[in-house]
Amino acid sequence: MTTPPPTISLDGLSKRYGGHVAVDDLTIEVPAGVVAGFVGPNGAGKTTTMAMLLGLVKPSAGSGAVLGHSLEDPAAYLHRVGALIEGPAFYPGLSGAQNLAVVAAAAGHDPAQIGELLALVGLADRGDDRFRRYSMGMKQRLGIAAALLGDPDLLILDEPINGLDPAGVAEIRSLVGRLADGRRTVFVSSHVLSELEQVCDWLIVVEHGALVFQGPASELGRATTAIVAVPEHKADLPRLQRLLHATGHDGELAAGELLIAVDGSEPRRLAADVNRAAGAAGIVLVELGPHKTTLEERYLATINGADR
Amino acid sequence: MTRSFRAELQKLCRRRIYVAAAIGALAFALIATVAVVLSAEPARGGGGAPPGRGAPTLESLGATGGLAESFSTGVSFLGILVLVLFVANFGGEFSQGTFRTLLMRQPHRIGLLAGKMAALLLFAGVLLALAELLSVATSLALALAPGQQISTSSWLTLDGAGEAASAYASALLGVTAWATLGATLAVLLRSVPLALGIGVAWSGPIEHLVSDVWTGAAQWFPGLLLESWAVGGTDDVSAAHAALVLSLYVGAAGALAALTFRRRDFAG
Repeated sequence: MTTPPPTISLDGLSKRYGGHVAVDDLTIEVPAGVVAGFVGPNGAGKTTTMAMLLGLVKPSAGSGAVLGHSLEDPAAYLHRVGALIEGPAFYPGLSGAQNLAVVAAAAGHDPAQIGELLALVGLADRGDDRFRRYSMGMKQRLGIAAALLGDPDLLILDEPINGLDPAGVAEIRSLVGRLADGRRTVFVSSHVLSELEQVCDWLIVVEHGALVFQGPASELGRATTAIVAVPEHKADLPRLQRLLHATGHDGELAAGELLIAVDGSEPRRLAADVNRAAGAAGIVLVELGPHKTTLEERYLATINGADR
Repeated sequence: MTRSFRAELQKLCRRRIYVAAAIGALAFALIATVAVVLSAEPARGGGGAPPGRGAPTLESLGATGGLAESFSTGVSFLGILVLVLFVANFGGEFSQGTFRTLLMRQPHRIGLLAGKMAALLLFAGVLLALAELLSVATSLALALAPGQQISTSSWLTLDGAGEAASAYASALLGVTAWATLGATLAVLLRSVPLALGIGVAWSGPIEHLVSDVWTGAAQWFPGLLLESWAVGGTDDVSAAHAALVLSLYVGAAGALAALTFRRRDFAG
């Protein structure tokens, strides 16, 4: 069985505004059918990259392809792409349904799907209200409904959770999860990884316009960076720390446990050294193993590593 | 272009817009026609007929062009309003971010701009036709009222209809020129307040102030040329000269707007 070509592939894509480099030599691939999180701090170049994918911004250098078509010819693929970028932008005096009708007409799509899309994003009973009366969450949902017009193969969502309250965040996250049906590729950006963690199976991390990490979400910062040791008695923690320091290993006390940085050591050998030192000093360890981190912690560690 | 044209019509074809447009056309027709017909006096003697259309008189209203004279006179005051409306419409697309929304669906940028402009001009054309019809009806009603001294014998003739059609075409061309200048300003500046400020200030006080010290201003400044065109030519500027220079301005403005729109980044 052959692997389908990536939905998005960028090769050395760059965008400069005068002396400011917004996107710096970005080379990434987004496999077909995944929910890809595009993560990085504010100003990392996420929106500019997405805008280049959508033909809204012209690259300064590099090349790329979306759904097999060159970025230089967005008309060849944009009819298969739905997007929400830089927040939902609609006509404030028109209702949600009328706004979708305008977008459908511009795209050449059948307006018959508007009712169904409004229902999908939970706006069925508010479709006739004017856009200016919508809450932020409703505006975002209308933006997603507009992006879904024409049942696109690729959905590009730029910070769809921005500015929402916790309930709104959960709502949009759940919606994005539902939209990822395996057939469609979803490329969604955020500056907060935890917002995407539950729905993404592919991650691209950028900072200062450059790539820091790309690959399956489970691979982000997977290498063990520290091991954790928990003695039977809390009172033994300082003594264990001193013992390890004497053997050249720095440990950090944290909430009843000792975190020992791997720092180039082989994690298993380090664990054995810790166990041996503790045993020799009569300290019983009730837990010894790799330090488990959340994806967010690994993301922050990756970003901080890139900064250094 | 067709998709963009349809998208713009989607925005325009709403009951609220229809009602507002109909009320506007009716108000325009009533005010312009009543003001022109009731203020018309017999022509004063001496000299030949000046080029173009001077102040309406009982004689000019009684001629073949009298049927649409109120309409033409009223339209001559609408230029700045058209400029303002087109600046607001195109500038609003930038400030609301809706050009971005449309461009993600219709990436042929010049087609998008042209389709939008065509739809708006079609709407303006229909509105002008409605306003002229209402003005004609009001003119007839006023002229036939007891005590009026306006002859209507040549109004409902082929020549009268031709004059009315000519007045409509002239008004539409004037509106097209104002609209193109307004849309271009909006595309270049991307800011409604800035484009409005520059557009209104230039075509209003600045051009008139300059024309006080430079006689050539009337022959070359777009706002003054449009004023001359709206009255069918003046002593200083013939209608033909105004039409020629204005078409150059409109062509250049349209090309500049299209080129700028095509090259501009819309996000990031």
